[in-house]
Amino acid sequence: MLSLGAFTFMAPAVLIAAAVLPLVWLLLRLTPPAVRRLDFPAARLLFNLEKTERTPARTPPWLLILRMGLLALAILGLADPVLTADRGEGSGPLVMVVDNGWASATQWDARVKAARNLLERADRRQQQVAFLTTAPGAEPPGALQLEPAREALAQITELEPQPWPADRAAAAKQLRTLKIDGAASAIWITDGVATDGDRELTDALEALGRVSIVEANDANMPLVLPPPQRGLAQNGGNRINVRVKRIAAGDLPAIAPTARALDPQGQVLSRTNVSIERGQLVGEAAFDLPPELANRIARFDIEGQASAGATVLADARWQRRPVGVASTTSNGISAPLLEDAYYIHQALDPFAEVRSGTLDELMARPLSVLFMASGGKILDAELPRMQEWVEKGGVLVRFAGPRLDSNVDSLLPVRLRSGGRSFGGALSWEQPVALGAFPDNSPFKDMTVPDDVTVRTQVLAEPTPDLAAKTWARLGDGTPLVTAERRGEGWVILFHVTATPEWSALPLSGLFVDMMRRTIDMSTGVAGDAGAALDGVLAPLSLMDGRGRLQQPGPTAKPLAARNLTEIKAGPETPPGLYGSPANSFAFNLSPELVNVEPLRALPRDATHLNFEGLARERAMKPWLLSAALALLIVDLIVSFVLRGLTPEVSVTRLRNATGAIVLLALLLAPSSGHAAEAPRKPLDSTTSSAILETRLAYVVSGRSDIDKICEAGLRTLTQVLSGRTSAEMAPPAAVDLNAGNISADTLTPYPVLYWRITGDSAKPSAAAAAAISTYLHRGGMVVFDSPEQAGAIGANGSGQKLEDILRTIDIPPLVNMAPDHVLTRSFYLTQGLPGRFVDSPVLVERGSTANDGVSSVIIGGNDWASAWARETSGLPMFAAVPGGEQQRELAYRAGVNMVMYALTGNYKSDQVHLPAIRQRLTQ
Amino acid sequence: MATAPETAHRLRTAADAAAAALPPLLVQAQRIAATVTLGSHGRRRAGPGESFWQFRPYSRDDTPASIDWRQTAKFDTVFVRDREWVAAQTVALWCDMSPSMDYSSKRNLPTKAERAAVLTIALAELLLEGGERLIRLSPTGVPQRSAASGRIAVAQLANALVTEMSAQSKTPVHPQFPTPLPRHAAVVLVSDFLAPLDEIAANIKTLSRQGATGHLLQVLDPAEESLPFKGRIRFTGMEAEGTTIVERTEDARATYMTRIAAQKDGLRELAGRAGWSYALHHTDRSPQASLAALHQAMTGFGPRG
Repeated sequence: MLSLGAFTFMAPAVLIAAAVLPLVWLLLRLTPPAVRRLDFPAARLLFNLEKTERTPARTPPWLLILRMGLLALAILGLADPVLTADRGEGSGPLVMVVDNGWASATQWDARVKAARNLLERADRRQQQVAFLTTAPGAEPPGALQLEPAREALAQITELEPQPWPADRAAAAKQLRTLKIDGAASAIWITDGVATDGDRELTDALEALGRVSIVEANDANMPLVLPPPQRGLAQNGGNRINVRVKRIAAGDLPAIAPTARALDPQGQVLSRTNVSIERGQLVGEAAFDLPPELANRIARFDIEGQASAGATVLADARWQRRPVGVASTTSNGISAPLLEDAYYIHQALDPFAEVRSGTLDELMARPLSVLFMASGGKILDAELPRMQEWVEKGGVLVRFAGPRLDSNVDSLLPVRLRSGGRSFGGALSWEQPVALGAFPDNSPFKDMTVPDDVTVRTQVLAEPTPDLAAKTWARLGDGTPLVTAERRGEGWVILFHVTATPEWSALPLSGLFVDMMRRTIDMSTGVAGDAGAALDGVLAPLSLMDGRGRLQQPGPTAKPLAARNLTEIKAGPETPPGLYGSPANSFAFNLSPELVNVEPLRALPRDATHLNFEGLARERAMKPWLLSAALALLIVDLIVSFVLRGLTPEVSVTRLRNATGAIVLLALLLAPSSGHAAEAPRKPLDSTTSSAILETRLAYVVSGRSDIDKICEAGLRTLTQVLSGRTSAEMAPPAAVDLNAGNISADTLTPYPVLYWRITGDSAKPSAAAAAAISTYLHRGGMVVFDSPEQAGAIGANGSGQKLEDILRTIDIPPLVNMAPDHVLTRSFYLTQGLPGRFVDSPVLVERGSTANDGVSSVIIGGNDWASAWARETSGLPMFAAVPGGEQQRELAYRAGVNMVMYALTGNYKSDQVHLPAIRQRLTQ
Repeated sequence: MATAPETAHRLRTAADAAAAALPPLLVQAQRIAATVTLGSHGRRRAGPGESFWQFRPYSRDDTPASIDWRQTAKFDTVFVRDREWVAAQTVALWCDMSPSMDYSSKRNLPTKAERAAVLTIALAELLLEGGERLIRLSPTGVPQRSAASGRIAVAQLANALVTEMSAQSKTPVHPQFPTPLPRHAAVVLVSDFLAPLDEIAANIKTLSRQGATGHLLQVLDPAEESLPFKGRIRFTGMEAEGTTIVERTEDARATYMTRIAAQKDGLRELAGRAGWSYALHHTDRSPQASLAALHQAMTGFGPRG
């Protein structure tokens, strides 16, 4: 190992190779670049050049420098230099103390990297190392001893931050067990959070020798998230107040960490920025959540702060709101009250866990809200207990009634006048009174006031100055209907009417349900039911690790004693996490005990301070140097090629071709990758594929060779006519055999038109063929039925049964005689009718079709078009056209052209049908 | 010198060319020929021919049948109608197809052989238009067949040239012109004329002795004019002249250009001494101009009245 300033060479022996560099320089200088070969017709003229022109070419200096640089880089790279910052460590053994308490989880990776960095350095220097972590483990640690740095490196890969505070006093104690001869250097990678044993640890470190402290900078100090407080928002939702505290000292910049609320599945329900001002330690913010969402919260954390201190698990206290409906006091009120509680049960059952029973039974288990449905006095014996419960956050909801029409006890929000007040009774002039608007301070204020809720009887509050502030709902005349008073953490709420429709229509209204629910939302949750715990202990359910993640409990975790939950401190045996049963869990959080944590102040006096960024500066240069050498090698390769004239000539066309090829390749690859998952497709048969590749007409094979010959010749001639007169240049016509095995709509679809010559002995198509034809027609295909022998069949005389038979098997739309101005007569030529070999047969088309853009899918006629079109290969017509002769044949060709253009272009020309109307409109 | 794939490529090109290149070459040649105006072509003297040349008084040598009675009737003298002598000249075409012709310095330039073939065929086309008779000389200078005329002769010529071009052997061919040509034949030599001047002089002498007037058309690649190479290059001659390594080609350029100029001057002098014409064509130029010049030169030669 060789150190040169900031560089340390791990394999200095390689540097000896640098001695050959001058030799290489000489060789390179003398060896000219390779000669380029060239066939040249006039080479003879270059023979016998004079000597002066034969000056030997030398390697150009820049190439020389390039190659020498390459070699030098390679040698340097192989010597494995490492760039280090000088930290002036001593030569003795190294003692490394790493804080791995909860606060170290912030920047944990940087900590591990720094520790590994330092240990690797120690390894290179062959220092002995004593490695020590401060967070207590489950088992007491063994005696600390010196070991090779490699061992410590192995340990550090397994090191994890722990979710409990560090115990530095124990670490100091362990440090004292270390026996070191002479001076050592100590490094403390600290999390910067004060604990009780700091002074002892610094003393122990100072005793060892020179101390270096590695710490995060102030901006990265750990944050603490105390359990948020749930309250009631102005808009009736839940307002959850969060405070975030940072543990830092000095000149603190303003930060704004993001606090999140998550549900059990880890989905973020809400997030809010908690801004901590410059120089401040604490920032506050609030989540405003509807109760439904707030009840789903399972944890709070700070984004980017994966630490146990910045994570708060929310347990049943957030979700469970046990509601009690007191039916009777233990020995006071004896009336059958179940009926009174009926409406409350109905209102609450879907939303809360409702228990009924006597006051004793209810109070025996934690309760959030207690409804006393039918008034009555709380016995003096019960009063202190009830008062205490309310002070601690219970919500007591009472209803007036015959037994609660005066100040029966102290747990009432207002003082009541004796005697109730009735409206609309037999002896009263007054009418039942409707509700008035909710006051602004009422939690019900966003609810709409129904006008059908009337109150006949109520109890009245004595007017006091604070009555208005206590009123949550009042009648139209201003008398309070619901009053409430805050007592400690809890509320006492009084409905001035009964919980039954006896006094008012309120229990019958939806408003009552909303009021009940809102009341429950105002209550605080209750902790896990300690009574339900087995043997008074809560078994670990899932526990937090140092990064705030919930894990399966390890073997070292022990159950919590249910009795003194508030006194337990987080530690290896009681890590923070969820305890209890899944249905009734208790969240034991770390952060409550961190509220008063201070930043670390007790540091060794003359310690060297480093931070992670400074440590990270050590890096191996080998890959960089070798990469640079490789890059130079590639450059040299290219240069050599150029010097030898081996560069390919790149012409514009080649580039264009290459670009085209690349684009083509991309296009080919793109769909193939997209469809890779699809099932392999059936290969097309050659007929279909040729039909797809080139548009062509097709005819249905009739089974009679003479007819087929006519069809083939007719369509062939028509194809020629089409390519001669129109832009429809089609391939020779195809024959479609409906009796073929593979007949399907797919094999027909490629053809724009199917010409079907029907003869007297045409067979009915098979079911598959008929279905194929029908589907073909539905997909926009077109069939020309031509049955000259049975021209009458189209009319009413019924002599041509065959055509009808065939048409019956196919799904043919309703037909109509072709109108004289049908698009067929003007799709290319303006014609009159569709003459063929004959002219007098009627032509039927689809009637007013709406499918396929109104293009008729069938043309049925008997003009024997194919015979009119058909010509021998010699060009002579095969049949005479009657009665019009050659002129009629021309018209037949025009009809054929029109049919094909109609099939190809659809109703493109139909606007011409409306031309007269359009013209008329334009002239108006 | 040629690597295996190169040979394969060449063979394939040859096969392709034999099958397909002929029409393009012909078409190209015809297109070029069509753009060259034919110019006057008669022998400009009285003789057997179609068109009227002059009326001249009857002499005793004339047959009575040659008397133009209509003209005679106008005057007192007896006139004879002379027609212009349309005599077909025999032109021997020799297109160099030696290995050195198979060279182009850039991909988008034709090889000298291609250009020479195009020029030869186009010239043949023009000459045949003018009714001349053609003799194709083989690479060694032997007349391939007796003088032919008509369109079929062009096709035959083109066919033969393409075959020669594709079947080019790498062994250099030295033309000897051993067989005498018809008297007063014109001979057109299309080549790069990079061979030593002595050889060329000997050939010209041979041909001149046979009574032929000749035209030299030198086809050169632009790179052969300017030697646009740099650096250390091993130049290999294409006709087995040998190789030479030039250390700094850019330095040798001046000498080379002097030498190529000397070669051209020597050629010009040789041609001039023999009363032949000399023209230079570069493959990066359009062939029309050279063809027109050559044709002009040819029609300017030959027996005159």
